[in-house]
Amino acid sequence: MAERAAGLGSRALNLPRLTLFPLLALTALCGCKRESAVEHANREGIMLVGNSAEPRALDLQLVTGVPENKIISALFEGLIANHPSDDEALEPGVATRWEHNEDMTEWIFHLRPDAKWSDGVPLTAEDFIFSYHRMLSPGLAAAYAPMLHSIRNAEAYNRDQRGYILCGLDEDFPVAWKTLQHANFSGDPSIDAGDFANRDFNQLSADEKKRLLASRGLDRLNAVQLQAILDEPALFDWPDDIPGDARSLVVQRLLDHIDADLFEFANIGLRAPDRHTLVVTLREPVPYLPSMVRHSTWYPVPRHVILKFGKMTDRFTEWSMNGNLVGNGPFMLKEWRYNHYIEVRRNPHYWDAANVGLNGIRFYPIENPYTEARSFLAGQLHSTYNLPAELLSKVRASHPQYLRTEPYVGTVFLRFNTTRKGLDDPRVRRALSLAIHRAELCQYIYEGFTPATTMTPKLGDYRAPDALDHDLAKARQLLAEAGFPDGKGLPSYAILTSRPHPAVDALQQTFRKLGIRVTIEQKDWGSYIAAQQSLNFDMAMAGWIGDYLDPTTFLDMWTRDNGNNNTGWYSVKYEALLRQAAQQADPSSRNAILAQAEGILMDELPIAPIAWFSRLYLHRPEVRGWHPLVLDNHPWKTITLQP
Amino acid sequence: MLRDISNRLLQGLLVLFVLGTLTFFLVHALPYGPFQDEKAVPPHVMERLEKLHGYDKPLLTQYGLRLKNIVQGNLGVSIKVMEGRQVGEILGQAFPVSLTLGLIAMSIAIAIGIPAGIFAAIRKNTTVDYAIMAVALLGICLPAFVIGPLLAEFLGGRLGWFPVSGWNPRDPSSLFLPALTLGLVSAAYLSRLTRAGMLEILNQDFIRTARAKGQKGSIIIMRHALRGGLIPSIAYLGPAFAATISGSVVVESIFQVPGIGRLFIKAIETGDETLIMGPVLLYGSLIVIANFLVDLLQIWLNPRLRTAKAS
Amino acid sequence: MGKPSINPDAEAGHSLWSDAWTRLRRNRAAMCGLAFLGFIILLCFIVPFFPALPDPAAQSLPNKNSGPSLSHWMGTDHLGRDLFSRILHGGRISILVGLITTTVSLTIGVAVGAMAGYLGGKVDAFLMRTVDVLYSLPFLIIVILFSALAKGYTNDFTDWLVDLTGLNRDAIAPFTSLIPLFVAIGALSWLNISRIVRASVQDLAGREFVEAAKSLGLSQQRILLRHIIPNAIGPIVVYATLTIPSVMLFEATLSFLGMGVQPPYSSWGILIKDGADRMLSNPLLLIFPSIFFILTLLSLNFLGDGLRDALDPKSAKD
Repeated sequence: MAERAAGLGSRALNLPRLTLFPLLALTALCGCKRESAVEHANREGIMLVGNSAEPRALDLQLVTGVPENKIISALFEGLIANHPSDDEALEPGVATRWEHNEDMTEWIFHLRPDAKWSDGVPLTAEDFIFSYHRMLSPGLAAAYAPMLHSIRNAEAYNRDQRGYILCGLDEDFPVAWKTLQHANFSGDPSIDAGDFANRDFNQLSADEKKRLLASRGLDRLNAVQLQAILDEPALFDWPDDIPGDARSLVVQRLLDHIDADLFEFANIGLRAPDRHTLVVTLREPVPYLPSMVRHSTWYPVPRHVILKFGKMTDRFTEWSMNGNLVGNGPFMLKEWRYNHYIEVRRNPHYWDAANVGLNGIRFYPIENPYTEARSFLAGQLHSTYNLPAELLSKVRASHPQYLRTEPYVGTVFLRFNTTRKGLDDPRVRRALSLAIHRAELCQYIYEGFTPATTMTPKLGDYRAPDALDHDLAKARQLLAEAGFPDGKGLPSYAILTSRPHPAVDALQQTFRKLGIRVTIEQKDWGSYIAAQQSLNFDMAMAGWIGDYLDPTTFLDMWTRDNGNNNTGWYSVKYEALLRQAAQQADPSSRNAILAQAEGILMDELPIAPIAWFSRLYLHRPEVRGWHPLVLDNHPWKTITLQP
Repeated sequence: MLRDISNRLLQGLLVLFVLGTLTFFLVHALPYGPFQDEKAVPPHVMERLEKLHGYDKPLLTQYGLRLKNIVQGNLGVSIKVMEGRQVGEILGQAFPVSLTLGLIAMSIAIAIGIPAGIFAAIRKNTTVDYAIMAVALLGICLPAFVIGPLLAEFLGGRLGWFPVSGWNPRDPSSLFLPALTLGLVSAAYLSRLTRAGMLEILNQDFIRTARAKGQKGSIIIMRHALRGGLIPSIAYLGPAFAATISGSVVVESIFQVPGIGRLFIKAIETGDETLIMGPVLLYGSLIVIANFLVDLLQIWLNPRLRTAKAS
Repeated sequence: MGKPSINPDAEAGHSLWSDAWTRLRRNRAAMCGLAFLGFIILLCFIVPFFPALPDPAAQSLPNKNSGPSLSHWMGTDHLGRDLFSRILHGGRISILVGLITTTVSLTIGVAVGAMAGYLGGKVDAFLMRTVDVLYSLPFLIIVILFSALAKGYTNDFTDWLVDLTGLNRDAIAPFTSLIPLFVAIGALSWLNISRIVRASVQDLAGREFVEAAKSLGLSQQRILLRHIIPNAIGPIVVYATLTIPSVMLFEATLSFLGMGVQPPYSSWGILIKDGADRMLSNPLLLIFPSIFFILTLLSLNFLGDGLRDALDPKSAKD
């Protein structure tokens, strides 16, 4: 033992030198300038893309984020594809051509006969019907399913309104839906059912049973509970104008189809007259449907693969994992290393494979934007996801050839909780909005962004009149009119934010100029969302990115029941205008009505729009075929690398 | 000795149990749940999701189920961050990365810290000693999120010696900057501990005796001092390793390392209980194991401890 | 340096401290540290009240990222705010976090350690096993979890406090917003202290003066508080001095992960993080706060080392 220690020791004396040696050697090894990652990738024809975050999954019907969407748009293709340089131009995708009836409620898509999945299986209209069936099925619980609600009866099926589908849609049903709909189908949330649901139903007292049944509603009852109503009708209250036999017929039908998928019964507006024709019937005219079907929620998913790995409605199966995933886009999944990168390679079965410019794309989930910028400047990426505004001036001076600033359909805004004292007065909200110096914010903080004049950014032919300006004197006057001269009498407000941002500090200072006390409240992302959804905030910094090129993607959310409203504000007139626009097939008169609705929104200001997004990012010049696009949906297939 | 080991193992299991229970209830007390999304989730979807993941059951029932599953080795699937993916599988990809990073960082820490400490002790109260200790203190005081970007900017960006981000096991140079950033703090602590330990031993009578006998300084150090002098440093290795592994959160973010730390932060932000639990239990087990190994090493190095433990 | 001392000379309580002071005064590094700490505390806690100092929140966007000048000694930040003023205000929060959190952890640690050491037996076994278990928890991970949780309820807590005490919300918000940090770090960093205190107390409990106090019929509580803990204070002071910098560093790391001090209150950790983010566009934003932070941490470490040497003459020979 002693010898061993001594042996170790004689070397240990030289430890400092010995350990320095490998360190130096390693340094020397790396010291020579090597070929950068980008140069290597250029030779291989692979584009290296900064993609912000690791995708939650690649099941396109379940994910909602932009990073996922970027990868999915390389792996899948919809009926209609994006144009590389024009946001509004429609490129044929799986459909070669499409037509609609006069009132734009029925659309026929003619699919290309040579369309194939990446495993060589032909892609047919049935695949699309399966995809939309799966997307809408209540069991899948897809958060973005409302994107498909304009299809006839899709919403009722998606919301699992079983009574309506089984009885309301049946023209032979003895009682018309107009009468029947007043029955308690969807449950009464005001009834407290305690924890009865977790106890054995048959052990409950009659009163407890009654409360449980009423709180859940007919559509949500299980077989035991429905049977109980049949056996003992007194357990459930019905409107008086529904006769007894109709009551038991409703319950009996619900019971007969208790676990059934009601897709067939729902008479959903989807039809495939032949293998290559898809007919979509809508509940109302949607002139922008071709633009909308470019969104990933309208992409097809491979029935043959999904059913191989589980049931249609299983959320968690292996089908979208590496090795199993089959798509129909220009690329196919090759490698997926968690938090490291996702690599896609050229899909030989793609109908336009000959015109795909890249051999592959590697998506890096780099969350830290400073790390991303550093990686780009060190030659490790072709394109970044974004660029922190702080680095803008620096990069502009040192590497102007890499810098890209492009408009983007998104708006930064301040959301008011209009149920709070003071903020319930439109004059106070207007005063706050007038105090915001949007031009200065865009010059110094949101560098490259455009000062907002409405909620909806400039979109195609849609123009809403400019509504926002900066006028401190008028703001003070409005506050005084509202009964709060110099902010006296107003409570202290907190601006809710999910991350520290200089703009929040700037707004805090701005409002103090009006004499209003403002604090900043930073919450974790989850708490930040939760606080807004429960109206447990005063003001919140928020942003919204449009899903498609139509003003409704910015306007629909301010209706009363929309889960993204979160302001407590609603307007009957506003909603009437939106409904009116939805019935309007002519684009220009439709836009005019929407602009009128936006006028109401900008008059009442439940939100104060601040700036319209720009995309700020770094991009290497050897990437060709990449043009500025406001929706930022770059079709990957037309991009080439020419170093 | 055997009893000692089995006691330690039992204690380890207790640690993991406490840790798991604590985590479970902390996560469920978070003011947000995993089913919220950036854009509002329709209520019927929310209800269905809660049912799918058993969130509709009473909390204690959920706890019992989770406990049972975990005991059976089933960590469950991620609820949000990587929805539907087996947590075991995710950790299986991320853990080797974190472990490699931690091991390289520890090697760097030992390779720099211990020799520097010995050197400082031998040259005590000279300029060399002061310089080493000043650098060590600086290393302790500088947060990793300052050292990291600085190293990345200068060694990576300006000089172009190392990749500034990413993790490529085939290219060892990509591992260097994150490991160095992570290892520097432990190196600083180790050098201070080693110096102190060495000084304590060098002052003891048997070293003086050896000196008086005229043995060469280097032989004294190697033959006698090193073994005792390293004990405090080795005692520190266990906690240091644990700190390194879990402290890699910051470094992983700066250098875009696909390890467990980033995953964990994201899981916390979204309240993804299963994906929080997995890493927590993994870290816990690692610390238990590391402490256990360090105990063994200490017993081996210190005969007095060996007899004391036996009695 | 490795093991803290556990042998304060009980009989010579008075002369121990004066001896220690004499020894400490001879330690140049420690005295420099002490002087700098005094200076920095003065600067952070008194100077901000001088009206001449710019308001740390006053913005001037056109004037952002300007270099040092007469009106802005250390230049301005990315919102045109005075950096020097922000550093002083941030320092106040950082130092407060360090002090209060250390106090929390000292209180818990001393209480647990003293109880375990003095009562012995089953209590000791239980408490020390608990400490062993807590020791094996991944510290950073638990603190992150804890602060995520506490942060979610800070506002409710503030509301509750306002309702309860009738205090002005604006006046107490700066402190309540820090509570998650105090609790998260303080509640988990007392483990070392409790072990050290337990060892000292065990050692002291057997001494004559404690036996004497017992025979006088003094209550256990009194013996513990009046006779034992004061004699074990040496190692506690040393440990506290070294805990403050590690807590401050920890706060900075949490701030980097977005879980530390919440805006609008900033700390040195947040200033340094902001500076590190803007390293390329304005390096001064990183350099100035880092200098203050590092010098303060160095001073605390020098002072801690000096105190240890001074209070434990045996290890001070080197």
